[in-house]
Amino acid sequence: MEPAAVDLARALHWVGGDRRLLRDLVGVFVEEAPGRLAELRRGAAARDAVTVERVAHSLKGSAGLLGAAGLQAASAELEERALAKRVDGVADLVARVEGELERVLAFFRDPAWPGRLDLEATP
Amino acid sequence: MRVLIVDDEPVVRRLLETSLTSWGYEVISAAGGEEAWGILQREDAPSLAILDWTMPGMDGLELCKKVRALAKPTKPYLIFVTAKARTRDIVTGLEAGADDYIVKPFNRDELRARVRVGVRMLELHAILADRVRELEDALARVKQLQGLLPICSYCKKVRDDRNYWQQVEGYIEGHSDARFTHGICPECREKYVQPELDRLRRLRHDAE
Repeated sequence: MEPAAVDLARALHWVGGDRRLLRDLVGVFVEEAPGRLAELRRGAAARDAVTVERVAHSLKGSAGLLGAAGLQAASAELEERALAKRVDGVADLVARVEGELERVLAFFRDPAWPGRLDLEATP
Repeated sequence: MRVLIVDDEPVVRRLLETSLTSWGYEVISAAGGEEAWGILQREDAPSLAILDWTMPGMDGLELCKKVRALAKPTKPYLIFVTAKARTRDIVTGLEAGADDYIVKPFNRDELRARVRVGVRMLELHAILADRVRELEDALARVKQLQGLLPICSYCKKVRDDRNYWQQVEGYIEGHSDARFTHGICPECREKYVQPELDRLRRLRHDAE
């Protein structure tokens, strides 16, 4: 079975257990994601290593904070590739980041997700 | 105390803003290096700043170097909060002039404690700066009583810095914390006061 897109216990750890703050951060992330994705696609299509690196770096940071390990790992890999200026043939990796991002967004777009905080994150 | 937060990543920026605000700080945010640089050059710039490193345009490292080169008497306390976690990044950041360095994702309690260290450092710096200013003022007053002072050989007036001749007690009072209380020394009593008293006595005697 595929691991869950988001580890809520991990996410709560970074906000010191503050659930309201976590919901607030998720709101910001969901709102920003489509713009970020469009920027990543544009950067990859134009073989613009600087843009790809920046977007990947930024996604990696948010993903880490929100407990999205899959997205974090894929973004980190893409960032490394862009940092090494190897953005040719990076389409597969960009597609993986997109897929991971979609999974995370699907998780957070489910209105029931805050309910899982109690189930998953109770110590 | 006011704190500047500089991060291009909206989720991290919100996390920092909310955290710092809940700890009682007044928060100003910037989404990039250029915007932050504008804020830090202002007269009323915040005295503590939390900087991301990787940002489009002016990055945190360049911002840090620019801030350190500012000719301001009090420099802001700078804390890097960045995902750059390699030892050589940490060394580079601190050598560029940052006061502290925290690796992302960061623990909130650690961040809070490190910000407090920054506040303590700033307070200590302010106390020391006050003491130095007091000492400099005291030293300036002492200096004013040094050097060559022109004095009239006859009336003993001295010439002050603006070329006026004045009584020596006026000069000293103006250039130090010393104050004079006026009296008469035994010699002058003999020389000036006694003859005057004698003269007055004679006058009264003659009148009677």
